Amino acid sequence: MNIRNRVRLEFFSLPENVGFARSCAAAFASQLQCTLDDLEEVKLVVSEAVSNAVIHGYQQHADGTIVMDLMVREDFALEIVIEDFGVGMDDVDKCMEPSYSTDANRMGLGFSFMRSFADELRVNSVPGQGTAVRMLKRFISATAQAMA
Amino acid sequence: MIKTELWDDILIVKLSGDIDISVADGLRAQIDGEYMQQGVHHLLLDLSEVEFMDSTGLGLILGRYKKVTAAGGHTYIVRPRARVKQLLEMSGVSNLIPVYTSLRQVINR
Repeated sequence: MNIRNRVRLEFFSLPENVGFARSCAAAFASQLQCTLDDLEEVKLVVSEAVSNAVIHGYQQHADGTIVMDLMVREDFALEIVIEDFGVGMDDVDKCMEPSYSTDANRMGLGFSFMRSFADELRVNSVPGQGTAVRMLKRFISATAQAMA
Repeated sequence: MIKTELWDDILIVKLSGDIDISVADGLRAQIDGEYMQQGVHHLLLDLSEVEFMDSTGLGLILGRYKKVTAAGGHTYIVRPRARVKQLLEMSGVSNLIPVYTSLRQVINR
């Protein structure tokens, strides 16, 4: 699939960068014909994925690197890739189960929300090397634009 | 980020802005500290000015519910915006904590 537009951001694994990442993603997505609800959903899935990288990938160490890749595809879908180079996951399927969390203060709903609000979700993780979360978000009005 | 007031035996906490990992620890400490200091039983979370919340925010709310319940009190949520309300429902939090559309509804319960 050809790419119409692309932004790649790299930032430290600091909690305050979670808000920055989701605002950037929403601003980038706003070039598509999408609703405010759509943008809220983009913000939510990015917030969940980047929070996971900060909390689990880097276990709250602030000097990790997170890369966010945002692409508008030729079919006007938004592709979001959040990548960290932290501890990775031994069992991705287990980590993606609703309510599974290694942290008692968290609900383990991050992946559930990503699955609910993104049209596609794919997670690649290698223990000791890191995790890449790829999400695809299609917007009805943008899809109509592509077909016009 | 939060404003608090007392009504009878209820600590009313008005949250605002974005609730995510960057503010969750601070809010947790503030709410728990105020709840302990005031010596009340019940907690009401006014979410009317919360513009964004993710699962970290839901964890914060659930944690406060557990603490208040363990102390013999009740927790209430009032006036969440549509998206936040949707997340409360999807997560099952609204099955545990009643959600009201106004402060008056809680007071008159």
